[in-house]
Amino acid sequence: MAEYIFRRLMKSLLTVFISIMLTFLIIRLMPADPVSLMVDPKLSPEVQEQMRKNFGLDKPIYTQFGIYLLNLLKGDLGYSFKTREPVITVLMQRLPWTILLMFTTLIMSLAIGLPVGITAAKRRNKLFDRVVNVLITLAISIFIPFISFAFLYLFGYRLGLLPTGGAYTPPPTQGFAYVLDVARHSVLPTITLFLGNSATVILYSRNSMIDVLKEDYIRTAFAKGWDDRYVTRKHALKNALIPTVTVTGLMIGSMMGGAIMTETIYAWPGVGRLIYDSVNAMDYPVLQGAFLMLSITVVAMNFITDLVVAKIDPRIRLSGGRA
Amino acid sequence: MREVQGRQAPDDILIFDNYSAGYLDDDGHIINLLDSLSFSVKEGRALGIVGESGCGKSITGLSAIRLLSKQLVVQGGAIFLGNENLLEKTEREMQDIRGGKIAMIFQEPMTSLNPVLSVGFQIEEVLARHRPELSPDDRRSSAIELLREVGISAPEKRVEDYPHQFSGGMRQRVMIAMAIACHPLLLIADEPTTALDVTIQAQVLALMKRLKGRGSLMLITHNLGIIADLCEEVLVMYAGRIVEKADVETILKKPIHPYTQGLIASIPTLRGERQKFLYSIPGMVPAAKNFPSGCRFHPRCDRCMDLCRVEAPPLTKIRDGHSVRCHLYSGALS
Amino acid sequence: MSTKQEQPFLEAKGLTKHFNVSHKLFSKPVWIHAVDDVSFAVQRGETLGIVGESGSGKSTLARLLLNLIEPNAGSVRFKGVDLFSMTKSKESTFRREMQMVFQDPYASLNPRIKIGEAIAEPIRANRVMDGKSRIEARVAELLEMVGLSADVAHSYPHEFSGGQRQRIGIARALGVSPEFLVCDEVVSALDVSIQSQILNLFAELKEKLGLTYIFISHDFSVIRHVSDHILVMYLGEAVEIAPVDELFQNPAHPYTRALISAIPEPDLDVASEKIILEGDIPSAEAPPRGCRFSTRCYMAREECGIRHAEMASIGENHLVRCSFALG
Repeated sequence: MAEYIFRRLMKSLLTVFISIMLTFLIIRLMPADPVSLMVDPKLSPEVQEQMRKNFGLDKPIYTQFGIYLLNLLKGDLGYSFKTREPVITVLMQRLPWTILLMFTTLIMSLAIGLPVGITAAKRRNKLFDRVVNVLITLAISIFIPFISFAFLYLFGYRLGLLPTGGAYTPPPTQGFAYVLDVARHSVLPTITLFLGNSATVILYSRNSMIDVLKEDYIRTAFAKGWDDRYVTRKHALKNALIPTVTVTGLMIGSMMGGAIMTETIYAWPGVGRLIYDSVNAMDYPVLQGAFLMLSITVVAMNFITDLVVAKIDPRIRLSGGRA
Repeated sequence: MREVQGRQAPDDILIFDNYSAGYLDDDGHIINLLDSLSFSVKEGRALGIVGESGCGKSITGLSAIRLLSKQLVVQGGAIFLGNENLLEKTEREMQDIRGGKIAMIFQEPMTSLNPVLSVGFQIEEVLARHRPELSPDDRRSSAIELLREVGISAPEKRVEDYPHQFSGGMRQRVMIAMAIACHPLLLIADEPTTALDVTIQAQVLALMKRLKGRGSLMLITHNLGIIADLCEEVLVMYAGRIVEKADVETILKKPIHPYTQGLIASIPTLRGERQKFLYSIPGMVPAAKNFPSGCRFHPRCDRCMDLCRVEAPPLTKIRDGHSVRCHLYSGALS
Repeated sequence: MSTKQEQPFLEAKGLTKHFNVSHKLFSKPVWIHAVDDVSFAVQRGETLGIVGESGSGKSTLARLLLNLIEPNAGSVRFKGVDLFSMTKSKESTFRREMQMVFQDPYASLNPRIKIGEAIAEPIRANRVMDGKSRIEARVAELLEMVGLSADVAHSYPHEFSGGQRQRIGIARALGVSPEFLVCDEVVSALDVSIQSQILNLFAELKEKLGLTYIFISHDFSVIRHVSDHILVMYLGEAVEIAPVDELFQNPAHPYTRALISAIPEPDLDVASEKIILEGDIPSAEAPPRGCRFSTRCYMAREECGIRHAEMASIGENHLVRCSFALG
């Protein structure tokens, strides 16, 4: 197990390093020159040059990368072009909101998706399963902006039940009232994200359960005299979870993509929204920081997924996945 | 309950009485597979069921613990365990029998054990199901004892291990340990060594031989050599019917059904003069949807008569303990 | 046998193949000793049977012989010519003369291509003949040769049973008029009654076409039936090679003896004591030191775990790899 964790950790670190390099390069390869954005073109060329120097943009690209890495280690992600605040401060303000949104979505998707998927598998081709299948297809093919606007129109505008944007009603209140206010604001973005993600969970848990129920060891368990409930719970469930958990880990990446759209539409003050704003403002340091944060999150989630799978599956836990 | 001829014999553990089963095709029609099987497994004895693929031998085994897949339907007859007709039992009652009075082991040792549960757990759960009076500690020590009994060394340690840490032969030993855990009256073994290498197969057969006599054995195989090694009685099946049934000596040395004779003559041997050509039965093993009319073997039989094409021969008793399903012996000719 | 006794039809010398089975980024290579230093010769018109259990390397050996994979060491001479050092153009001619029949011919048949096409394909690819009608006639001839009727040429693979598919596989291999067939577990998936049909077909074709066979199987009784000489393999090594009757009368290697005795026979009069080997077949990743069979051998002495025995002659054409079998 220790060897397995170590190998996975090394792989995760390597992935993070590569993504740091990629974000760094991509941003530098973008067509627009950030200085021309920040700097009033009426300023004299000398001053412009001085500013480039201050930002370190005059040095060769590998030196820039070296400096960037060193600063990263110190937790210094540079300063926002737009607000001149440290990027790390900007990100830290936004991150909790995104985590709140994603975590709630993830928990809900698993808590509802798993039982639904497994029940559908057990009642394969019966009414319940057929209805679930139709809903899955719908939910997976939904275009996030479309459903978001539909929700906003219906619940926010027509029915006036829920707020139309933001994460809380300004100015923020205190205590329980604040929690309730945030909860009300988070309903629509969470449901929007939940639709697609829970569909993925249902799809995978249903299909892997169907496969597992055909396995020989299920027949062995029945031949021991156990009933359907026990066999499902004790023998089928754990095996069906293995592919489902793996897919959930991979889902985090696409959830991030969905979060950018969702947060933008619902004006949710998270990292997704920040990315959208920074692209518009060509705020490269913030973008770079946000991407880095996203890739670390994805890698970390995948690492956690690997650990969960190893916990469930002794073939990985005991032989490092070599069996 | 019906009075059955064979049931009066006090030492019959399991009796198939005129049992028929078929499967549902895509149009919802029932296609007959097993046709009027009548035989019994005697107390402490081993019955071998031998036949080629598609002859229905595996389905016969699964019928005895009523674990048939959904497409398969019982068409008639009865299966008695002692005096009780298993076909009249509720699912709940069957669960008490499975793993307790009748246990089964399967062909694929690699996939028949659950990969995420320890072998100890998988043995203990049989005890948990059928012997609830045992404490978890008792179950653990029984599991270790069972592993020792089937020849797994250092069972105290291995009991915690998972299936992937065992080889194919060892996994089949674990399957056997699970099957004998509750001292079943009958053990059904469906091709238990087919997936194993020859030297490993020999180990498992030696183990099964050692365990013989504790209960009855129904051994399903395509390999007459294994039958000769383990069984006293033999059923030869072809296309869902019993074509010959006798003691092992008669089947191997003096078979009278043309199929049994042909089957034995087709097997290349390890001894005696080598012939350039083997005896061979012409034609193919038929699939259930095109089982021939009359005697199902008639298109491949070199002694086929007109009668064989239209009328299914009855199972005719030649003498005590030897019956054959063939018009040559049915008296229809005289 | 023939005047060509001095120059074997096919001769393998010191064939060795190791595979690296580790595909992990950060780990050391793990070598499987699939085939280690295997040598033998086959005379024209004879059948060499190769028998072994899983991990014995018998299938790897087949692929080495046909030049489908390259050996790490050793040579194969086919009709006196070294297979691994010949030119490309010559190689294609030789490839035509050596064909392989597999366990499951269905796996190599495209389900959407008619049987006739599948059989014609290697004939065209090797430019054995051309002209649509001539090829069609040849396909019909081949189908009849393997005991199928000529009009099945228009059917698709799924319409056939296991035995018929094996006949199709044979017809396909015969299309280019090879002299030499390597048959890898060709009857393992078949029912007994069908197995005997296919074995008879092989015997008939050998006689009719003067073929030379290498027959590979885990089933010793099948191997005994078809072979003139038998090569017994264990964990990548040849442990014994002898003419068939000699091997069964005087099996010298403890493994050969155990393997023969382990086979359940449908014969109640065989009273011979069974030799039950202990333990599992070791992994080819880490074959035991010294004699590879020493961990399971019932005759092993201390030195067997240290000293690696070489193949040595104990009689005419009878070689064995065991220090004690020599007497």
